[in-house]
Amino acid sequence: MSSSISVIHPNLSAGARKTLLTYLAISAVVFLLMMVFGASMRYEQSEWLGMGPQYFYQIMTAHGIGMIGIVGLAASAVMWFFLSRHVQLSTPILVANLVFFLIGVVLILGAIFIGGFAAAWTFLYPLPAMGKGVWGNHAAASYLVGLLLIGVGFLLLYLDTARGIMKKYGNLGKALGWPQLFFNSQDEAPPSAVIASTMVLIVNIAGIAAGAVVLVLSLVNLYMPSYELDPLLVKNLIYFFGHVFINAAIYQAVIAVYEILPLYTNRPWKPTKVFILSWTLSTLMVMSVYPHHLLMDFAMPKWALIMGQIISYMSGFPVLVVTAIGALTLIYRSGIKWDVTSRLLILSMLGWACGVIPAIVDGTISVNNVMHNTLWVPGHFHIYLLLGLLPMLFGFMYYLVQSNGNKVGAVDDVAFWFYLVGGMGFVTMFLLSGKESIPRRWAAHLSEWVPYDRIASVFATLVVIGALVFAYRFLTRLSRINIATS
Amino acid sequence: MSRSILFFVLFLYLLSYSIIGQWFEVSMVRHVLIQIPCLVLAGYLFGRKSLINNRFLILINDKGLAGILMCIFIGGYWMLPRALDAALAGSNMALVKYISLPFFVGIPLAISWQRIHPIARAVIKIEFLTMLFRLGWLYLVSPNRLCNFYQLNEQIILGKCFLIIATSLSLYWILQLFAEDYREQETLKKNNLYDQASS
Repeated sequence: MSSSISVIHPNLSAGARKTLLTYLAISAVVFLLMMVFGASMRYEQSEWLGMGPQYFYQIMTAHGIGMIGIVGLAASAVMWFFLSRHVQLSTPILVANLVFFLIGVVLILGAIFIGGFAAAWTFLYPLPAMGKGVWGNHAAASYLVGLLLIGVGFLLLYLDTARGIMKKYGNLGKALGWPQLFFNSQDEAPPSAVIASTMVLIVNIAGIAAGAVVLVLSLVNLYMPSYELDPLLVKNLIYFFGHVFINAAIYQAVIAVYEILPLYTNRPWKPTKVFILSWTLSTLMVMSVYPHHLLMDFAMPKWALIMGQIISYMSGFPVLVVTAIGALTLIYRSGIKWDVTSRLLILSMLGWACGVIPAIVDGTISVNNVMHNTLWVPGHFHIYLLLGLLPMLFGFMYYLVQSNGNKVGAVDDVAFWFYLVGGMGFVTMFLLSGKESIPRRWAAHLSEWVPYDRIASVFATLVVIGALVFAYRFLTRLSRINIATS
Repeated sequence: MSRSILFFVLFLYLLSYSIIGQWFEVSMVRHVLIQIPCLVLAGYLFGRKSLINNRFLILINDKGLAGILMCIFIGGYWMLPRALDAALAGSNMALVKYISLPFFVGIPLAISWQRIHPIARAVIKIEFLTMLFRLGWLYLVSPNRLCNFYQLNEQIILGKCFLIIATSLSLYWILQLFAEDYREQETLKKNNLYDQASS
């Protein structure tokens, strides 16, 4: 069946096609590079490398911000591809986002690897201004301005999606399917790509606006330290922005599941009332769940912490349950043929679903007070990202690579199993390390912890090998990708 | 047209050299939140009423770009506390303020706003909101008086007002995105343009 999967886009211009493939090609390379960075941190903790703490924290900063940025870029390409089938989007804006992104990346890389900036991707106040000779104010400023520029690019992109959607559907409520949900409208509900994109643009515009405020205030503080900011308020805004952005990347990439799986199963995936309700609930929850990052901050208002815990329990469920059950229903007795694309997409459902469990555990205040600064937390978000989000993105790349009859080799199947086994082993070692109270963000580990790190390093290597094949396949098949117009 | 000019000049006088104008300037909050916006509003209303279809202005303000840039730069200058001080300290700078805000912010805004790309309009709105939040926050945490002519407590009140205005505007614009039907607006806009073109 896979050989007959067709990649159709009725109105994709040559410029848009080229830009989207550039997005994905850059993403494939950067995924790989960031995975090498991530693996090198585990090698360092395993005492197999001797890079030293300074380089470790630089690489940790680059790995964090690099992964967040690049999954945002790749996921926006997925959203753009499918959304532009339904609404008119602007190719110049798509290009502008890429240009802003690349300029921002240059500034961030310069800040980290030339300026020595190593305050983690979270740039929590007042750390950027406290380089203590390791980095200077200009390096911190370069990092913050780089982030600001990337935010401007994404803001343009989401404003354009908002314009396109509202031009066709009238307003955001209608694009979310509210007339069908609340007023029993008999009109056909918007396609799932439109509903998902509307949710994403709402949360991401809010997140980017919050980021734009806190980034500029941090810049002011860098050069005028007498303007002291409230560290807790800064942390709230940073985590609102960061949490929303990375969640929105998943919600953009999941459009690939809605659009591609039906092709493999020959069954339509139509938005139902439950589907619409789940996306509406997730819109609210994604924006209100972020206090679960601040459960250890005793100065936070109690109501916010309680809200963080309760919404942490609930927020993963609506869209995830609807999507996972929808995917399983689609597959059941459908005669689906398993190839790399379909396997990756189903793996992404598994990763997304499994990631909820450690998230809920860590979202419990009493557990969080003990576990939050351990490797449990990287375990939780690597399940979401390494086994959930990235397989969606690689799955989309394979969907394009295998377009209209193009085939891939057995090495891709092997790479999938490397990625699956490596990924599962890698995240399990994080969780086990967390269970043993091994702290996170430590360059050097005690000798008792090193065995965990070494096993994790082996699994990390498997993941990198798998991703290397995925990236190589996509890059070498770029020119053969065949997107039909009908 | 002549009635518009008369009202415009009268409004400017009331806002500047009259007792009311001077009363605005006594307080930082009234100065920043009433006098300056009203000066811009005067120019905006005059521009909307009398200049929006001026062929020469349309010619030199292609797609509204020149006008909106002028509006941003001149408006940005009057956001600086230093500029407020200068306008209070000297009559020449006061005159510059009374002229520049209506003529170089309000009127360009009126003749450019509908002409610029919708994405640019949205970016300006979001940047305006985020700037209000930033300024509000900065005014609250500033250890010093930013304007020599006003006391620290007024600065703090102004900072709070900025935050309240930014929050209210955010909610209003978000509600608009859910309540209005932009398809109808697009159709209306197209029809208006068609009417203009055919007349």
